Amino acid sequence: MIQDVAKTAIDLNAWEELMKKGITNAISGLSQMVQKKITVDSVSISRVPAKEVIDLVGGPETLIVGIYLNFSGAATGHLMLAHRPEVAYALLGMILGEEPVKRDDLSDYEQSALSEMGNITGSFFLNAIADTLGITLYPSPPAVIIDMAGAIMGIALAEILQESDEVMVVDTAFTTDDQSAGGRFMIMPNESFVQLSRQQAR
Amino acid sequence: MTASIDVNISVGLGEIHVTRDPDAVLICYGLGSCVAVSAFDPVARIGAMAHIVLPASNNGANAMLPAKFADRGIPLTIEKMEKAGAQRSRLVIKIAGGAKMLHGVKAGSILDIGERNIAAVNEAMQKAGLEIHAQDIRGDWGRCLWLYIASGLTRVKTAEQRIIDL
Repeated sequence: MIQDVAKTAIDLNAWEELMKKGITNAISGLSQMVQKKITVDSVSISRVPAKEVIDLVGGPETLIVGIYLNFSGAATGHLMLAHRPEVAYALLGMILGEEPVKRDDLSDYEQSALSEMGNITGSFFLNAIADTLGITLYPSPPAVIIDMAGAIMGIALAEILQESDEVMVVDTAFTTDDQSAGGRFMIMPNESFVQLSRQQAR
Repeated sequence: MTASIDVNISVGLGEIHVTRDPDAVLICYGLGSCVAVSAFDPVARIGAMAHIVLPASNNGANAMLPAKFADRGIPLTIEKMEKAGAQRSRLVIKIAGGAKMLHGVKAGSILDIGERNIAAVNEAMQKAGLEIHAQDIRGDWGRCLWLYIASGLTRVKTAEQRIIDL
């Protein structure tokens, strides 16, 4: 058991390198889209009980705007951009060049703008990972959902919990340089993805 | 009589809570495809809630999250209630959740976990000889389910603050 822990610690370094490469590319894609400098405030990589993943975005009942994608190919997993509604509207303002209006729903136009944000962030992330590992990854079309955090995060968690009780989560907090909007980009790989990157790192 | 203060107990993913504390309120927050199962014995005044995540386990027992799978979680919840003094024949069962949060997923397909959870909960209840008395299920929205032990009332709330008493 002790041996396993030691091995995991070493592998986490390689995993962290890989994730940071992906995140840097993803944030640069997002930055180009909103035409603002974006600072990564923190990147945390942890393996936590499922409940704690939902607490990262404010708890199960919190209303969030989630932009969700999963990916398939040589590795599988889930990507989520999670924002408080007011942040989502601020980001929309940057993309669409309009003053954000806070409401409880999104127009079709706003939905597709957020969906495009998911496309860009997701594909920039996946391209960096795929190039590094020499594999092919396919993103799903993004889903844009306003609802309780628990219900939205449950999409990814249900699949991961089929295999384990804990979830590997790579959680990135970012802010635009003018501090007008901050958000979260979360990566939840399936176990097979973590294994694959270990093999590749050897 | 002294005034009592409700004690909110959050039942997380895969958890089971059984209580006979009259001030307790058992709550499953943020249900999407998950199904909350509420069971109440109105005579013994014992209540339970289970937060089911998936229909069936592929492999072995799971002590950490006892209600993760419907096929194990439902019988375990009933067993725990009986141990606490509840009688199976008196149990009032109500369920909420089982939504399809992703529009791209075909209804009834293997990826429609909400629908599969609902089916698995029904099957487990049938096996246990119990019927579901009320439900607020399906749709494409999140829910919370409350069970007030003092009254046995179960209440569903959606993200738009829509309230349904079951």
